[in-house]
Amino acid sequence: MIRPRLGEFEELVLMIVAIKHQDAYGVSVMDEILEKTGRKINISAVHTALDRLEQKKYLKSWIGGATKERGGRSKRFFDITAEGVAALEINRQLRNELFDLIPESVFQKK
Amino acid sequence: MKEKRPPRWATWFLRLYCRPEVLDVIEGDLLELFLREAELQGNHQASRNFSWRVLRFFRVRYIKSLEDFDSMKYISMLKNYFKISFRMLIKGGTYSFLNIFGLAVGLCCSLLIMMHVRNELSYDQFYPEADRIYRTSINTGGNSPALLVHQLKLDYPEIEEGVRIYSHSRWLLDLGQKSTVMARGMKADSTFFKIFPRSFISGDPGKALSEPHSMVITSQFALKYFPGEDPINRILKAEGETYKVTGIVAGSPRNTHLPYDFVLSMPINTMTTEGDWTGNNFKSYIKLKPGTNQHDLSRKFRSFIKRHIAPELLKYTGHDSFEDFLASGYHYNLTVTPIKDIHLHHPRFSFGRDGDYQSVWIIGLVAIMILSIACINYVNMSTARSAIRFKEVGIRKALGFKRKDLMIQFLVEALVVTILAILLALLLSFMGVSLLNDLTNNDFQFADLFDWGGLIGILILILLVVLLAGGYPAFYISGLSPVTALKGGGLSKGGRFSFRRGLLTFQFTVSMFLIGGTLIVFGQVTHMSNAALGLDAEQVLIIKNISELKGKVDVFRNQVLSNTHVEGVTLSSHYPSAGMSDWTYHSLHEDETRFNPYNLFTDHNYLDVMGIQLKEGRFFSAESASDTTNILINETAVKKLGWTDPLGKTLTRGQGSKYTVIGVLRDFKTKSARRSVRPVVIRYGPEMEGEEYSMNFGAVRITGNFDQAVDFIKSNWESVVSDYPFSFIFLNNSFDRLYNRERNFGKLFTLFAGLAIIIAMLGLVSLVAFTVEKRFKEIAIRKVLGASIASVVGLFLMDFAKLLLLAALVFLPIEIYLGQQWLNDFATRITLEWFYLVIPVAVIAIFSILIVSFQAWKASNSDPAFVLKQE
Repeated sequence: MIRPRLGEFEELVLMIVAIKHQDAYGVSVMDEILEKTGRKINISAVHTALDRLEQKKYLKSWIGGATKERGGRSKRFFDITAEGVAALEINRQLRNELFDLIPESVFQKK
Repeated sequence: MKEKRPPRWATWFLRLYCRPEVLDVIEGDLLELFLREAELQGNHQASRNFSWRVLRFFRVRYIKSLEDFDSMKYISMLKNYFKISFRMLIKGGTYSFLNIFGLAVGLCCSLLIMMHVRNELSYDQFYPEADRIYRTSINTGGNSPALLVHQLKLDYPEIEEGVRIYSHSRWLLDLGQKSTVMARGMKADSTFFKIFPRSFISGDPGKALSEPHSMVITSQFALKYFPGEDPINRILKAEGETYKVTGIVAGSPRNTHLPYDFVLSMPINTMTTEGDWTGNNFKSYIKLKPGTNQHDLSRKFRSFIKRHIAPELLKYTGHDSFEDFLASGYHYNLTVTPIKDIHLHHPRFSFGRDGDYQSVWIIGLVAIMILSIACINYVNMSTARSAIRFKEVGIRKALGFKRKDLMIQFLVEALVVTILAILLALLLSFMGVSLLNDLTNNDFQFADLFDWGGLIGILILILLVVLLAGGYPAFYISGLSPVTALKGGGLSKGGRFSFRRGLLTFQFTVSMFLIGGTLIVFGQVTHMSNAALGLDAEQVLIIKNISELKGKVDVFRNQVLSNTHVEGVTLSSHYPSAGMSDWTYHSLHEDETRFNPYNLFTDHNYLDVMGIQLKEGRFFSAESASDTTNILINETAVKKLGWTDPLGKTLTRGQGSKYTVIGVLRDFKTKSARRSVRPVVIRYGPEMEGEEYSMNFGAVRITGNFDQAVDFIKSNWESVVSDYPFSFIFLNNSFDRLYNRERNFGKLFTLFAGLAIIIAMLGLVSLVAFTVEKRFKEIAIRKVLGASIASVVGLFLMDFAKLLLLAALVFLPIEIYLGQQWLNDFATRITLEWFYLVIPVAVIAIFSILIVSFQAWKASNSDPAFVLKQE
């Protein structure tokens, strides 16, 4: 099992896109991150992450949804691809396995 | 509610850099955030966030790459503009040529004048820290006492360094091996190169002048007289003393008030270093420390004078106190003059060419006038001819040309014309430089146009012309609505049409002004050089340096007198038209008037040889032994002293001296008629006060063949003194030279005025030709309906006559005011007679009438049937 090339922030964005299923675009992803994690991200960083993920084929996008509150400008929607889902799963599995290997005594240090 | 908008610049910037394929999405997201935040946090905060985000998006990922620029579009559009421009030029034919030619002549004048003015303004700027170097002198005479610089440096720490210059003139240098040369130089203190730094090619800058009998020469001088050898340690002789060459410096450029070929060290233990406070034989320069205010310093100098100079001065004048001295009408202060101002503002301080700030700005103004005339031609022609382009403009607009695109197109056309014009102008300047050199007595090279300042100047000129000449047509034509343009309308709008007439009127006014100016300058120069001299300068030869004959003067004089062409010979300390020194005298009578007349020593033949008239009394005689204590004064001096019966009155120079007035002379000119006649006193020369004022000049009155007489005198000189060159000048030439500056200014003014008028008339020719062409049909119909040729011509003439009249009305007051202003500078001046005002108007009127009549006549002479058949 090969760990996917996925940064921490990228993984977060990928999951958020999956959560927002069919309704993920720049601003909504940014809002969702703030809501779910409390992290305040600049919109340009969100765009960059989305672009990278699309380049890595974990996301696909389409143009649509020009609304009045955007001055008639279109949105770019994203959705997770099968590769994206696989990558998330691999990551999760990997983490769980590693987690399980931590000896019980470590937790008692708390 | 006001619609909320993100900051304009940020949007603009985003659109500028952002890749087109992602722009829409990014802008959409930013806008969405902005609108939301504007609701919640207010416009201000939202705008700030918006701008911040725009900046954050400025990442390689989102910046346009080269492929995103549709550069081909711009280039091909620009190519198209240029193509259209050239087509229009070719289509314009003669008009285009006249347009370009007019602009080229205007630009050529501007280039040459720019070169001249820049040179005049650049004097002495090449010295590092030139703005801290000042000339300091007693009153406005330019001279100062020997001890001044030394004491100033002791008293005022803000003076960094000082130098004295002595005897700057043309010297006869003995190079050894029997060769002598005349060269320009001076004696100076060892600090000379601290004030006026030049780079040393060899020698030690700090020590070159610190030993007595040392000498620094310029590299040009070294190259000329010591080619291929090292002049260091060579021994040269000047005025009987030997000097060793201790340094070679780079010669100073031509734009300095202090040109020299060599500098001699100041000899030790003579009057020049010990010195005193009353003899003003030095020129002093000081360099102030940074931040010192010259006015503050010169205020402090008042106490300096009282402290150091006044005690010495009073011994000599016999006053009780310095206040008394001032109260009796004397002036005594120390002036501080920036060296950068010497050339233009204090030309009498200059050792080189003297400038005149007034003529510099007048010539500069003429350049602006010429350029504006040339630009107006272009504006007039392109707006007049715009009618034939209305359809083109209409179609372009209908096809989606924006106003901006059209303006660019017309500006490109102006640019093409200007560039062609400047190329032609450079060609004309190449030929014109030598003419400019003749008129300004300078040695400009064509290449001087292309130094940094010059290139920037040329670029500015191009830009200026493109905007001035191309701007209005571009603005005007591009502003037409497509429908009016296609209909061919537009001309009917009165406003624009009168704008063109206004410009034409302006051209008429400027042309009249330039003609008027030429007339006044020449009238004044002629007036001055014809002004009665009060002496007969026509047949007089002045022999210079006659004191070099030493004891053999009498031998020489008798030999010269033996020639049948020689009427008389006289000796004197100075001669009229060249410099004279003013000495202080005061009368020994109740009024005690003090004055500073020119002091002249002569022998008893002076009046006969010079042709000066005696008004009353007698002149010196060879027999009268007491004549050394006698004195003659001129009429101006009598007036100055306020005497009614001058004969027998006495003058003194203090210390018990006493001179009795034995005669009064009619006034004669001692200097340029620019200045009024000065008081003059003449004393009997053969017995003089000191070697300083020796009889240095001979004057010979000649009849008959000049050349023979001059040859004869020259051969006699050489037989008496073999090692000093014979040097002479004719007195009338010497007077004539006084007006060279004004005469050259006059020629320069005439040249440029003439060119300006030619340009203006070229413009008028093409404008009239075009207007007439546009009204061809109208003329034909008028003729069909029975109008005579004369009445048609009259119709056109009336049109232009109104403009001429208006131009004349504007011209007259300007001419009277500025003309008088210029003339006020001269002591003897012309009055502005009626013809100075009428001739300019008449010349322009005649030219215009001829041009208009000819064109109108040509048009109305054509067959109306033929004209109407067209189309």
